[in-house]
Amino acid sequence: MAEMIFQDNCKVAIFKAPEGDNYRKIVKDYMMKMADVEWTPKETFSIKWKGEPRFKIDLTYEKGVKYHGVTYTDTKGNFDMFEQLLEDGVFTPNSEYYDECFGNHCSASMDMAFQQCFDFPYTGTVKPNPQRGTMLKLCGNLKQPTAYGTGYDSADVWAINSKEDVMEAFASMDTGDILYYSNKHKSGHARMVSLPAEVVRFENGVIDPENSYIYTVEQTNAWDKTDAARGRNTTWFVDHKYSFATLYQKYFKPVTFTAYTSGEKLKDAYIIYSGINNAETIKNGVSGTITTTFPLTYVRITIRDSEGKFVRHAVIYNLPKSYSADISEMNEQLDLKSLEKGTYSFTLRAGIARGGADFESFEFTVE
Amino acid sequence: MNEMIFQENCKIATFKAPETDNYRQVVMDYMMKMADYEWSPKETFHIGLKKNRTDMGLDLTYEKGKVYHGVTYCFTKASFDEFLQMFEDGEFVNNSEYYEECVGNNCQSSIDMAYQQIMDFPFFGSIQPNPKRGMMLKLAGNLVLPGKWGDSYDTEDIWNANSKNDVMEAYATLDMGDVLYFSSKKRSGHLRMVSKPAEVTRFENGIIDPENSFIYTIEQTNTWDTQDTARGRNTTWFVNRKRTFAALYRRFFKPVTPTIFTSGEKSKDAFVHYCGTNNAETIKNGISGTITATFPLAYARVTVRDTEGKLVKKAMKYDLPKCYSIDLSELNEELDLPSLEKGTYTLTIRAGIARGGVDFEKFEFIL
Repeated sequence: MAEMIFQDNCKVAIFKAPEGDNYRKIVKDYMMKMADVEWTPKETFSIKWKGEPRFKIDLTYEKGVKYHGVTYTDTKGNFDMFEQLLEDGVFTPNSEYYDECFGNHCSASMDMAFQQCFDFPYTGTVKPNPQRGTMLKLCGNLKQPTAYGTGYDSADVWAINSKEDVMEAFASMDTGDILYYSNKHKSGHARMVSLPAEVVRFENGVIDPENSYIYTVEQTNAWDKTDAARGRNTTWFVDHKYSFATLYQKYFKPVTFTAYTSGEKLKDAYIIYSGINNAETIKNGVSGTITTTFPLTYVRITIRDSEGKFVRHAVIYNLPKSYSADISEMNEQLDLKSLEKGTYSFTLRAGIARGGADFESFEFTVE
Repeated sequence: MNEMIFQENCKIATFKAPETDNYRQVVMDYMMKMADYEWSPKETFHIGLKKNRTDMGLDLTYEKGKVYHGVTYCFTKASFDEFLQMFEDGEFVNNSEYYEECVGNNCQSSIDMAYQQIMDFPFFGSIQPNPKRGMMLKLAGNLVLPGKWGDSYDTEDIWNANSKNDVMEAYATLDMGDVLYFSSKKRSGHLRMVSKPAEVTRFENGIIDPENSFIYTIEQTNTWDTQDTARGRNTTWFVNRKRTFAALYRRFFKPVTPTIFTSGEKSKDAFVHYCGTNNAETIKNGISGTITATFPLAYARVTVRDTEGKLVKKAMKYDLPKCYSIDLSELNEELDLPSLEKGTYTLTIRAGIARGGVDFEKFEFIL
């Protein structure tokens, strides 16, 4: 028999599978929601590397300036979490480091979008490999280099497929597909296709790479200085246009989801909270567990004073592939013992990419 | 935003994913557990067809006092745990003499239950690659599907689309847990699970010798095993039957394999949750609440026993083809609590998936 764990007194949030079979549109819509969110920082802050820089990041978000799109950082945040951190549209960063500040980057933002449909945890890559099971495949008729499961980059894909086959694969791309530059020697970059490919062919039927295009939406490490920004201050490049020739030259391999065409149906996602936290138990700290069936994005406990003003929070976040969290691990960060006397409200919230739910909300008094 | 449903006061049973990565062994072990179970009927009963069918014969009598091995042969998609619930004082009490009603399973649903040990694999009426199965199944070896994805097909269509040699090579790849599936557009099919790696003999030129290459299978059938493989048992479960590639080809058994055996995909925990309040007070108005699962539900059963433990009332949702939630209030009519005589009783609400079942409520009440 399978091992069975039984829990009483649980709270369950069921995030229904999106309605409709147009999975491509669902993931694109979520990317656009993350790209379009409007906010301003409470204070000017810069995003920089904590450790040795792996690539250039030089982003300063200035107080008083309006921005669009979730912050560019390496912490795998979803829209719901970012929204929780906004107080009347004002964002207070928890860190100035790329590796710590709430936000997401190119592939993590796409992971969050794909998680609207699929149980698709962050693994650092968005290409076919054993960690992804059968979820991804190279577009068109492209062959995968080397044995299944071994590491490969775009150059390896180019090496075993003709340029014409890659062009035909580009031509098959549609909304929600992936263009993924990966290189064994340096950092990669991922873009989501935002519109069906525009394909121009020569008279002999061969694709004209200079005049065939793919539009993408992508979370980047730079401000969009092009017309696509529509006057916004944003690191989200929306509907940037790239020729097949450029994409080939820059080694962006085309990847798609098997579920777009396989007939696979989307599943409901569950967040389960097991624990008892209330005004009495809080004196001994917080406890309990959060368990999910889709990747857990964050758990956050927020303390506000009697006027609703934010006092402090504790957050479990930056979760690469996590389906559970032990709430007691938040006690040190929460440091309830240092609270001044008074009445406070306590909220425990947890979220997956599809959204979050408040599992506990109560008042307590520190005497 | 996704629709979100929030439920409080729930009970959760988490059925952990198998610890091993040897998924072939996991499904085989479950088949053997179903095949090996020893039991006797409380009374002699016969299993026959409720509806007249010309495409299959069925004439099984389970006799009181005789020892049998293996879950009963019926059409009701029962899990092993579900079968066990039908025993009173160590003897099986059949709920019907009809194939379509009696608790048990058949060739296909027994394999579905085995596959549900490792994946969310609902009963659909076939075990072959098609859009309802998404990417979960593929034809073995390099066999190609006839027509385009989503077209209906039977084994003959596959034979027509592939050379005999390719089918032989596909047979040669079969291993424990794979499926041999005879399907025909004109009559009922049959399924066997492969129980050992294929034994392959080749001619000097490297071509497979179909008469001297073998596959062993385990299968739930509509007849008693009268061969040595029965090991003297009374059983409808054919364990380790040996068949030549030639015979399998002639009888149109196509080779199918689950992709999870090779893709790297990891088996997931399964959750069954009960949300509702049923107790000695509320029961006066009948039962209520919901059972929801992330893997296919096999059954939900309510039993009422008297103070001596004797079963006095029961109601059951079962024979569930693709079910992930059950409204318990639908069992009230069958349970018919108002007809109970005055006394003290114990009510139990149990539900199960293929991995196992759990008692979600158990309480005494007085009428």
